[in-house]
Amino acid sequence: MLKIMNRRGLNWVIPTVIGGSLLLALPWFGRAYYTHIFILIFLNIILAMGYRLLYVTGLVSFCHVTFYAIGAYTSAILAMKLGLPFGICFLGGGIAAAAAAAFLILVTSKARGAYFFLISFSFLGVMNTVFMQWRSVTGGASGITSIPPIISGFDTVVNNYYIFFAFTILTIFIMYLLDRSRFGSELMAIGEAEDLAEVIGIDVLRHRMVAAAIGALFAGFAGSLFAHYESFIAPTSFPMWTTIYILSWCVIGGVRKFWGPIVGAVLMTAISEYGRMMGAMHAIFYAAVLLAVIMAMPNGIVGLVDTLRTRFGRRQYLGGDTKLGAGPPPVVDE
Amino acid sequence: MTAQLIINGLVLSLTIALMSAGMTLIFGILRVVNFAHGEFYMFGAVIAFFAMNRAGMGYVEASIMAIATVGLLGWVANRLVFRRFHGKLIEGCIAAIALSIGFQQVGWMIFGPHQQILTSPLTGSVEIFGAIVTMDRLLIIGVALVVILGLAWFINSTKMGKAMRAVQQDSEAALTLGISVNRVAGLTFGIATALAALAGTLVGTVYTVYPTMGMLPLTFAFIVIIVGGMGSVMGAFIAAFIIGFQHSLTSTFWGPQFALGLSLGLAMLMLIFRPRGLMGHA
Repeated sequence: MLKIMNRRGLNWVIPTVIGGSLLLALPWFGRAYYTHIFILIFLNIILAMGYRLLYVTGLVSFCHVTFYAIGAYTSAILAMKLGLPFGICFLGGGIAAAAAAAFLILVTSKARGAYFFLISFSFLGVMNTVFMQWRSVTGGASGITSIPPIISGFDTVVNNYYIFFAFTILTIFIMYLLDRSRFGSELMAIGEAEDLAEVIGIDVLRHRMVAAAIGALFAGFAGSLFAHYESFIAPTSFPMWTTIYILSWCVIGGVRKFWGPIVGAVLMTAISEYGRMMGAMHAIFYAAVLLAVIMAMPNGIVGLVDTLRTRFGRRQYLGGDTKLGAGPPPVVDE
Repeated sequence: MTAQLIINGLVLSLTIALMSAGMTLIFGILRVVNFAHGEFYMFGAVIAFFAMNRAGMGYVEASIMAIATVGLLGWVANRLVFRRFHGKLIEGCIAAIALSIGFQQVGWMIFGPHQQILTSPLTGSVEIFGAIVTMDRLLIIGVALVVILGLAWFINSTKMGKAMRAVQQDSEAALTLGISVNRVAGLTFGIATALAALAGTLVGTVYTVYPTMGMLPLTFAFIVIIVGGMGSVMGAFIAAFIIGFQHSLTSTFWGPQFALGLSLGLAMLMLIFRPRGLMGHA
């Protein structure tokens, strides 16, 4: 007991317990509207965490929302046309998105930087045309309606809140293990210096395919949850802007830090929802925050916090990003 | 029928050539993909609309005023924002996206959600090889052709154009030769946004003016700079014609809903098999 109660333990355990119980209790004292907002925040966290995986290897994609959409459509179509239970639809949505992502990385293996960015933009446009025009399967512009709920008979916002909450915790946990694993370090290494990573025996293409597939798998799961929660999807549910928002959450929070995308997604979704009350100024406010963060904090909010902690706080080794062992502490200002 | 197709293809090709030449210039100099380019296009049309309908100016004066204002705005945007993201692709994109969101909202606030049209100074139509061509379309073709040729001359023959090409090839080497990269970048941004505004004022006479009118031309400009090769103005012109005519043909024979998807598919194939585009450098 005493061992947990040392300073380090206190730092983490108490806020986690308090935050966790507040989140668990939220549906009972918040309005249904807030519960819905939190469901959106959970969705956005899952999307941002999946997006980060490919981003840290140096490939910035523009089509994460397409994987989300593929998951949602696959899941909805499996449920509507074949009448499969939710569990299978959910898995099917995730796997379809992962397969699409791995395929995209494989065929574009030569593209880097701006070129990959624009290829993925084109992929988004092509898939959008498919969703719009393949009417017999996707329902075209009017989409798919009355998709069965996640658990039939328990289709309240509160129940859905707990489902999303549990899945988000699971996602964060898996991503955390991945980030601390050898594979996570190798992804970081590819992003730092692709050629060097290749020299020490990291298969860059395969790592990128796996990273994209895992990211898309979770995006597909999120899409499936979304489709069965909203019970309606159409091409307008997955606009190009969603991709831009996901990208901006990652950058605002600090994409190379594990907690960065989470902080970015929570903060910007909250600002965006709060902004709705401000009416017309909402978009301008969002744009101003985005611009201010990108100009003043190139490493994102979490990056800035870490920099300040090293500069003013106790000197500590900024582990986590690298597993090179003993050596000079990594340079903080990238 | 064929002549009609050619005219439609020509109008589309020339307007997207104006948009994408500017975007490719900016990419070449600053290595930033300017997501806000569509908003400069929209501002061109909106300012011209207000100058005509509130201040009672004629189309030509209003257009010139709009183009100058937007060019200045582009220069200021570079000075305050884009200059800091020289060579930082993703950060620059996000800054541009932020500007795009903000500008679009400003467009909503001053213009409202209604669709309006700019009154063209030329009315009526003529018959060319059996195709009925309205005069406003002819105006677009004429003005855009002149401007594109002028731009090609400017980049190839003037000292400033040479400086722009030098910065595009290697900005540090250009700096050692006494070329002010910042000045070149500012001028490039001004020219590029002025071209977008010109496209906006021209297109506003044929199609409608509204706050989100910049999205479609922005998408076209993306496709064109991919196909043409990023940073290459000549490539952008060629690609604008390929994509413009492809769009016109697909719309006529298959239906307009497939045209954009096919263009994007072409762009994807281009990136997969020849990533540097038609004329781009590796």
